[in-house]
Amino acid sequence: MLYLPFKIALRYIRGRSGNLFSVNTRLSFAGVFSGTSLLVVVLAIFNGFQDQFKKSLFQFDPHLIIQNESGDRKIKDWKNFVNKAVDKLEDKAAVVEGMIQSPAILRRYNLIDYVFLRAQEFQTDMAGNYILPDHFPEIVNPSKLNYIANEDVCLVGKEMAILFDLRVGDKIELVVPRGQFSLKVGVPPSMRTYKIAGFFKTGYYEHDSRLVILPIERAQNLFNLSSDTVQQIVVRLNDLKDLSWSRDKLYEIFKMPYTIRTIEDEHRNFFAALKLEKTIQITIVFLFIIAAMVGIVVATYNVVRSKRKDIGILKSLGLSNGSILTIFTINGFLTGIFATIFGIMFGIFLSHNLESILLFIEDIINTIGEWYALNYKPGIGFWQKVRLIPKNVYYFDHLPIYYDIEFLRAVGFVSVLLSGIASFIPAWAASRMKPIEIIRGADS
Amino acid sequence: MSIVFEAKDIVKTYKNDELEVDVLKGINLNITKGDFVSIRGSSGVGKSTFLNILGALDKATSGTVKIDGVLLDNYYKNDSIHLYRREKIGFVFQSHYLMPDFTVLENVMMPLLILKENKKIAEEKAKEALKDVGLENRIAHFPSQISGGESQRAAAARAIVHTPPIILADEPTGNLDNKNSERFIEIFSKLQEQRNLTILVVTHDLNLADMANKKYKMDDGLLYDF
Repeated sequence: MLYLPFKIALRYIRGRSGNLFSVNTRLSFAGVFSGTSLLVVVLAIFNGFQDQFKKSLFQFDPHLIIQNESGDRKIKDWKNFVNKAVDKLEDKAAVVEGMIQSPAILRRYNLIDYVFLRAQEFQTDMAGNYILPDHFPEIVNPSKLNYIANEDVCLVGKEMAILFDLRVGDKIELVVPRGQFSLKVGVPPSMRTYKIAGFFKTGYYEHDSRLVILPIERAQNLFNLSSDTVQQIVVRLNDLKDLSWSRDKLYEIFKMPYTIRTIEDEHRNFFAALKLEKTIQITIVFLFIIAAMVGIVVATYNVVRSKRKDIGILKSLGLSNGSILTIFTINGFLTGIFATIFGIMFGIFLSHNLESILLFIEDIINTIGEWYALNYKPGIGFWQKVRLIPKNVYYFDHLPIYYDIEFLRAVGFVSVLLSGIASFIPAWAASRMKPIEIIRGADS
Repeated sequence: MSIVFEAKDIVKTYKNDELEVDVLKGINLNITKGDFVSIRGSSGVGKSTFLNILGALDKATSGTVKIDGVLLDNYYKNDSIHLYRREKIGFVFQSHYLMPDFTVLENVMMPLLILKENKKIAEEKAKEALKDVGLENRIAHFPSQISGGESQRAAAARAIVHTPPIILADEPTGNLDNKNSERFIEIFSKLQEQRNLTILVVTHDLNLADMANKKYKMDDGLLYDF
């Protein structure tokens, strides 16, 4: 029968009449609650950043890149290779296509800067216009752009538009190396003018500030390649879990001198950073677990200490050790459950509103700083506006928040489980107390 | 009359490093049903120790205790000493030891709930016991909201509510002033008559001790008729 231990435990949680919760309950609740909510916020931001990075990278960049490492490094009869790759990869591949990628120089009036050129296949509609592929990044200007005219057009990243002051319809000149290097002439350049059809946004600053996308035929003209020649064959998979499998399968077609690189090879540093973040996450969770455990142990020990006399009385009335154990375990356990549930809920609420909170804090700091600079005139340049999430560093329109439901569930489960274990230790100590020692102690 | 309680050759020795103190040196005591037994004695002679041994709050160094013909040792051996405390004993201590988070009624219901009595029946019995000690108007109060005398009467109600074979009272009037002490003795005596309780009380209070039908004095670890 758990009725009596439950009743007593609940009373200890509630405290005497008139109080919402006992002081001990409030303390242990506060510990677990703040720990859980902070953990949720930290993980939501961590996961949000990771998710945003992955999305921007994986949605746009090819997952597998096949290159010819010999001779002129071109792949001839590429459509034949594409068909073979499609057959080999069965339904694992979403897109297999030819691609041309190269550094280039952008020239507009007297502005010259480096960019990165990427040419991919665009299907054409009945009127001959280029249709934007499904996996193409979001077009931010002009909005709802579905197709572009079949002429020398290009699409550029939205950050490049800001950097180079570009507008839709503007013309830019692209200069690329053409042909082989020779001692006589060096590398002859190839130059062509393209009209900007729109601006895209991948969410990845490097792409959005430096990438120019062309239809493949247009790039073949620029590089002086025949229509059956590309520089690479690229594969986009339906599921990245198939990356290794797909690479192995492609090796059956593309033997030496072809090489196959995966997106992970291409962004090795990035993936290493993600791995490091995971380690940090696990460390944070581990520290949280320790802090929560210590908190609950201390709080339950406090409850046990403050209820020492009650334990003596209950034992003298014949309550068993098991029931005493149950009372104090339930006490910590229930507090842990409620604190975890409310902690997770508050954490979700907090992370959803974190951006407004940060902006509010930012406003306060800037108002104080500006007021100080205005009134005390400490010198020009003393006060510069504070940006808690600098856009040029993180390159997000908003603070990315992402909940891994499985992870939240695991946090909740571990937190509740640990509440039980942590409260069990002092509860066990309470159950072993000798009533005579308690009563003698209370009398003295 | 049947013997409810039988203590034979109870010895209690406290050992502290090399020092050994014999507090109880072989006490024998038989209590029959309906007896009101009082033990007097100066402080430190071992009265409370003896009571605690009988109430299974402390263990004797040697000797046997039988209640309703069952050896106390058997409860220890079967790891069921809580059952002995639960079913056989009602305790009244010098301090009331009411649990501060529970109302007077809940405190008195506690022994019955521990005995797994139905909640409604427990409530009825507790109310009846509180009525017997004159606290029917205090049932919803918390211990901090009633006086010391009332708290001690509530403790008495808690000791009798489950009608144990014996009530052990350790200086029940020790913390009360004269007026409250008299009231407590009056009520305690009435309870004993009404409910035919078997009571063993250790006390300094002559008035309380004189109410007993069997009076003993403890001196130097031994029990004498008084």
